[in-house]
Amino acid sequence: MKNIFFITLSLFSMGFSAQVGINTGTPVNMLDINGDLGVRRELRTGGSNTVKGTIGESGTILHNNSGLGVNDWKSIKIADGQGSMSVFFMNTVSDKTGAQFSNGNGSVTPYTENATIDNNWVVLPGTQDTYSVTSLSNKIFFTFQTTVQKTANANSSTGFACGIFVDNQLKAVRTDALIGTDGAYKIFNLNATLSNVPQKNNYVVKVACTKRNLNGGTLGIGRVVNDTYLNIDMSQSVLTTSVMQPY
Amino acid sequence: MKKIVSILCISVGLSIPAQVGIKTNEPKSTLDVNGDINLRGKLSVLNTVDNVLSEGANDQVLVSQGTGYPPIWKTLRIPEYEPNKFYLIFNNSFSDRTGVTFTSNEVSTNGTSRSTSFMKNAAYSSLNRFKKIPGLSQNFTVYSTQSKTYFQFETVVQASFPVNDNPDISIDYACGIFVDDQLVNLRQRNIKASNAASTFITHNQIGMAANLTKGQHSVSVACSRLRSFNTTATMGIGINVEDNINSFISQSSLKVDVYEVPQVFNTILN
Repeated sequence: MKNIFFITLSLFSMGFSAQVGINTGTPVNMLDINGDLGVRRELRTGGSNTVKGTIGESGTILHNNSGLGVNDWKSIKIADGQGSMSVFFMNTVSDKTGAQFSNGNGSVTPYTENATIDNNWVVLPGTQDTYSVTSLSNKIFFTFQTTVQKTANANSSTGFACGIFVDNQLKAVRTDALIGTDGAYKIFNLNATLSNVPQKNNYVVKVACTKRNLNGGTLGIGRVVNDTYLNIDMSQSVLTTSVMQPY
Repeated sequence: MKKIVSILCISVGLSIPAQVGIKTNEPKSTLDVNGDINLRGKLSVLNTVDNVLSEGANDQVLVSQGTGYPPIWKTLRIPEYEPNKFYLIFNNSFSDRTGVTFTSNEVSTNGTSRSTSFMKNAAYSSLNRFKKIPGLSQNFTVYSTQSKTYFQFETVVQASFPVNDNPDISIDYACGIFVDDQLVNLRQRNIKASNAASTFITHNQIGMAANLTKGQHSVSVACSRLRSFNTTATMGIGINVEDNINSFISQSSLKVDVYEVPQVFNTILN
């Protein structure tokens, strides 16, 4: 009993008129407990001198509504089926800088998964983004779209490839060719899915492109090379990254 | 009792050291209340990260942080459901590097009756020489009678063409998205030889199905060779047929999103 107080509310109806501290001499709340709190029966919120506070319906959760002066009890439900795979992260970034290629043909050797980025690839700077994976079970979905345009090369085809690099390793790539006269352009799409990648904070994703057979002329990817037909808003690139995980 | 009297006498800056029991003489915590407590104001808890007492932001709930730590106010990562609005309930994404190939003998008889064969809800079994891309046959579940299911499919189509000639060398093909082996969406396209051999193209397709029945459904993507023009070349869909590209480049991706107006709700607690 030396250090323990025994307060019997049933014997004395005690009303403290000021702030009370337990284990503190400088209470900052009406009751300031510098330690843990044990409650053996209901926790009531609200109420007045004449009415008891509410204990909430069974299953409701103690909740803070900043518009109320007291905590309330809230029923929180989730739709049937939600949570099998849920979007934990989604972001879209865009780029108007793009990449430009000329001066001879590039390699046409097929690209391999997890190849490290090298100086044959030009990063579209605005497409860089970061995402984190917190579950062993996950899907990462990338959607990339850009516009490519070429200048005259005697109407030969102009080949290129764009790939998605995660932590500087190639994770998905598509190759394509542009046919037509000076100023010809087309839309390039790349959709890819990665499954169950290792858990990690701050994966860095970016899109980089490389030239293949240019057959002369200049190629712009996400970039205008003949402004008769395009401007930088029309030619911009967009990358959307979604991380899906179960709850 | 003397000490209690002294508590009553102090009106400002009251401090009680050590453990306090209310209706118990053996308190097990700093304040142990053997009964209910009533909180007319807000519950503040110490946020140990920034050492600040917090009564929580709007709409936060109290969450345990385990032994030795105060509980913390946290925001729930689930939507507030409003009636008659669609929410993303199921989403998943699949990929495949096996693909399907077609020799010049594997031409579908549907190629001569396209507008009558490729009707919505046509049975997969009624179509001729449609091959399913193996890794894209998957199951998904619908939980509401009011739903929209969205499919986004991308693949690479390649043919073992030589350099183009006169008349043009090309192949007509089609890819269909099937739900429960019934056609919901089909796109047909032509791959034409270019002035480089071993032509390949990227194929994009978006489809949707509304108000599927509640329960599990299957989705699959199946493709077919509809007609050949001046060629006996082999065609691959989702797989390379020449080594100027590889199966990593030609892989297929299928994203499935189900948006629903929720009708059944579950508790978030165990």
